[in-house]
Amino acid sequence: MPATGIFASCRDEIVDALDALGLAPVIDPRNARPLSVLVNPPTFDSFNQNIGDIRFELLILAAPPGNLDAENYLITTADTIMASTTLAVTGGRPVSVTVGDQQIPAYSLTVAVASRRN
Amino acid sequence: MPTNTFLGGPAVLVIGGTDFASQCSAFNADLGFDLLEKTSFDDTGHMFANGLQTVSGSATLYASYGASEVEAVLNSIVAAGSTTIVFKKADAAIAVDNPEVTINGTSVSVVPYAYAYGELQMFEISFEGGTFSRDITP
Repeated sequence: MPATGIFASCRDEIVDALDALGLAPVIDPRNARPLSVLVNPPTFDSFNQNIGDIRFELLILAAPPGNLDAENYLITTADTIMASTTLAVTGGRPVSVTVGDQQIPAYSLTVAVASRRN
Repeated sequence: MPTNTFLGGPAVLVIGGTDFASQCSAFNADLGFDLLEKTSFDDTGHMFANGLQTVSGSATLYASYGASEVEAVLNSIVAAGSTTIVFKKADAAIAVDNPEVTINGTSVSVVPYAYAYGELQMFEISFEGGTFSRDITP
């Protein structure tokens, strides 16, 4: 079943913006891999029944192990996304995520977006 | 039997001719009268009578842009000097449990633009003055 609604619309726009930056966004965790950016499901506060104040977590995934090469890739990619005039990145932090059975060095970014249904 | 109330805002909120209920997160209106003192010599306390109607209130609106959107309508009503606000609890017929309140000739003096990185933009407006009426006639 394809996703619809304001959250899906925002996710599509984020994926498009990441594509435009030359990155490799994925929305299915099964496709998460090093050198991709996983767009996780959003959290949100409701302005009202029609408008959402939405936050998406982006996970920039680097190739293991978590050495300087991985860090260089992560902070460079985080800078690329932060510099986007489309995406409003409100924060970020280094994390380690498990993909399959492997620990992947990653950066978690929070992107803020508002959406109105009608 | 319990009575349940889902905690939404007003279902109808017409400001300057446009219904912004779907773009409003908070609305309040204080409607009343100036109190005129009518205390007489034999009273043992201050006594008052209603004078002129008083109207004041505020609304928090989503910052939408375009023709007939929040930003454009706010600018037009500020420029006009006064406007009409109509609100109703439910989008249903007027009734004693669904009164419609109309505020005529109220004024919004400023369009409060505010931008903050990473935060949802909204207009928090205040209105003052005018007259009000409450209709419960179906």
